[in-house]
Amino acid sequence: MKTTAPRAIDYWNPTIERMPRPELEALQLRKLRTLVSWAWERSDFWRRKFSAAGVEPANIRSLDDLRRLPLLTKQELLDDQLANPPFGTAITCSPELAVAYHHTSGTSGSTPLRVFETRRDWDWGADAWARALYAFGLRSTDVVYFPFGYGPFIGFWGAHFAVQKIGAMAIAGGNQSSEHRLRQIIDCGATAIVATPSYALRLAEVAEQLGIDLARDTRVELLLHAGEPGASIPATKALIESKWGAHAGDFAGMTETAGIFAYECAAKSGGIHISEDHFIEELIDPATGDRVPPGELGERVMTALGIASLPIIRYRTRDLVRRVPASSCPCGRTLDLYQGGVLGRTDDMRIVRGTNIHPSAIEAVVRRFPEIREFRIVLERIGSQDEIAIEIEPLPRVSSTDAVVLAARVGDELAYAHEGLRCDMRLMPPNSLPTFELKARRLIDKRQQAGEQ
Amino acid sequence: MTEPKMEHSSSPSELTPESKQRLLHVYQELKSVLETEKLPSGARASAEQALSAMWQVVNGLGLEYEFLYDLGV
Repeated sequence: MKTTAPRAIDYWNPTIERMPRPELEALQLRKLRTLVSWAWERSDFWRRKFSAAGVEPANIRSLDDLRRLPLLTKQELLDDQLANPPFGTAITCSPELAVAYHHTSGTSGSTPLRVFETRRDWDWGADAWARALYAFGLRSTDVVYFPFGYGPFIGFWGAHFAVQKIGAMAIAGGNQSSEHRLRQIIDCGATAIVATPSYALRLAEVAEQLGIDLARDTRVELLLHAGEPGASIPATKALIESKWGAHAGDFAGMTETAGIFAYECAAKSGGIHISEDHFIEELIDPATGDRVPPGELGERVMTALGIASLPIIRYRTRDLVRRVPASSCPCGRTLDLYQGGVLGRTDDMRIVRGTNIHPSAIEAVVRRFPEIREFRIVLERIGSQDEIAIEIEPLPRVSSTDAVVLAARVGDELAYAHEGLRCDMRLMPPNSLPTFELKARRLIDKRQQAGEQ
Repeated sequence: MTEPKMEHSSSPSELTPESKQRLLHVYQELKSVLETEKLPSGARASAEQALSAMWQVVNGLGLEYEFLYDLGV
């Protein structure tokens, strides 16, 4: 029997999740010193990098000393792998110990970063995921469906193993059509779905076409989302929850570290808790590199304590986040949160006629209109001026007259949210815009493409 | 969706020192086995899996933090 009541608040690891802050920080320092020494001793890349910055492991005596260590970029790791294929010199153990291989999604069209995990690394990643899913309410009695293609992109691999670790049933949807996946969700009595927010909406759309009412005809109570920020965008979250009649939670991870660094708990306070025993997270001004104070927007810089086959120390993630204290959530955890999840990416931000444009901010407006099936942001240079167009594709049942009114309403709301910036609202024919199973790509910057030619 | 009720579990949040010691002992013993015993392939793989699992326990409780790559794990 399906219930829409929230799951009870509980802890996978109460020792850590409720640890007093001074103890937590002491634990972080102990782990940091071990990791830095390990990287120094085992990796040419890291020894060179630390030496160039004039620092060595003995210099790390407090968490504040973290700032003495140099920042790391993805490009550095990519260059190292290019010069020393396939895994570069930043690794600290033989790839022969690997039990899993993944690579990044190659967001900007560049070569993906290759990462392997040993048995312990991989188990750690699953445990980090398990803590997150348990916090949102997943239990051993759940039946969890993965409408996911299972390729070299890490996607939901970690979540799959975490579900099994919790003791729940994991069903691999694999390479099937959305229609077949929906049938299995119903036939198997799935109580939870793990997918990107975009794909959860795509499944909802296909369900409507098939005459399936997901809220009524399925047992799904939990929607577990990663890969995109949508589940923390209030309008997107509300839309997904209304279509499925289920609770949608946000989980944030990275291929480079195999594990989830932040997760939403069953209290649904509007933020995601940082797994601070596994990660030391700093926020910097992306332009200056200076630390930003709590509560202000900054770029997330990550030090991963759980995996050391490829040490990730002071890694510039390009994620934009706003950190708030643990007390912002009533769940009892002592782990700080990122309010609103990952709010955007430094490399996704565009400037149009002096106004900052973040795809997630556009989505936050567009998803308030459930009559819109899909949308896309197109940036162009027309004459000497930058222009922004929003392509919107209404649901087939929306009449052409209503669609014109809808486009105007969306345009007004977007202008209100973006300092009066007017967007060219373009109505698109049915089924013309792409849908996505993994990371959605809804930003087309033709100015950049033209410049690259 | 319905707002969550603040229902907290009654699962134990703190282990006794004796319990922690027992868990550490199991972990250390598994390490010792892998360091000193020449095991058949199947037994070694299972022992590595067990050590990896025990690492999650002792690390998760903040009792031990080290890397096991030299043991092949």
